[in-house]
Amino acid sequence: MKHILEADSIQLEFDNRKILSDIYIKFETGKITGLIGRNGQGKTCLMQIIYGSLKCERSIRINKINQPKTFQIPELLMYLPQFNFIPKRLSLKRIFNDFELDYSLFEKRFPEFASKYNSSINNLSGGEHRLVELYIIVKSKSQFAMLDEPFTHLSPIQIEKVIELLKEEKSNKGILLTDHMFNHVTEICDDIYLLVNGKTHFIKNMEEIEKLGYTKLESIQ
Amino acid sequence: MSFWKNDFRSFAGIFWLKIITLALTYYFINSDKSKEFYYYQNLGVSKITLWVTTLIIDLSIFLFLIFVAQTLK
Repeated sequence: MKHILEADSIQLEFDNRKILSDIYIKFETGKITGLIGRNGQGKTCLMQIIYGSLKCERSIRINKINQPKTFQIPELLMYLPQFNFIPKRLSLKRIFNDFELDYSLFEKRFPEFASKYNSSINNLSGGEHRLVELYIIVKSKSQFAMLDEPFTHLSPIQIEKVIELLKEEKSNKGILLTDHMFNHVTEICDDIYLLVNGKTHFIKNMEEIEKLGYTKLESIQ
Repeated sequence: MSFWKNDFRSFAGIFWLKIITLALTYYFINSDKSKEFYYYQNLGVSKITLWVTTLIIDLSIFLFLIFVAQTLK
């Protein structure tokens, strides 16, 4: 079944400075939606507002039904923050049990975790730690997932595998992601929104990205 | 009866000390471990649920131990 999450009417101010004011963003089952923007434009704030952990005026609708407390219902929406969020003392066994995921499938996809079922997350490298966090958010049973800088700390091989995972998983859920690795974002995203001066712009062609001052296309080709 | 006559002042002192340490715990956990709340939120457990449960259990153990100490005295 196809699900659609829409967010708009968002007003966010810090110290009388408008951070977000003219927002419309939509993500849906079967698509990976990218949110790009320069540093400090409010991408993370927007994700936290949609998730509900940052309070402000907002309207979040799932399948046209208002959802004021999305963060209280993991079956609807899960969120990967840009920092490590799993308590360091927890073992992989405990984490996979908590999220009701099959470790053998994870191990099959990422063989480097073969002997680490009983290891605590604290004993993993930065890349492995991020991979576990990303995997549990992407594979858990929810209608939507938001990923804030999912490729941070990952090696090129891990990124390739993650891209494969996201492409597979988008048939089960709507995915919104933000990352500065522009090439990867454009490679996997079906839709892209650019956040500039508190407003979202739906990108119809790559030239718009340059016109809106996010990047120079010649520098990324 | 003797508790209210003789020991209430020391209980009140210990009780307020307990409240102060709980407030400090609340403050430091919220500032040092705030990122880890996302783990529980992704499991559907809100911050409020975590805190209310923890504080009720902690205070109950405290009151139970005070009661045991008073009984054994």
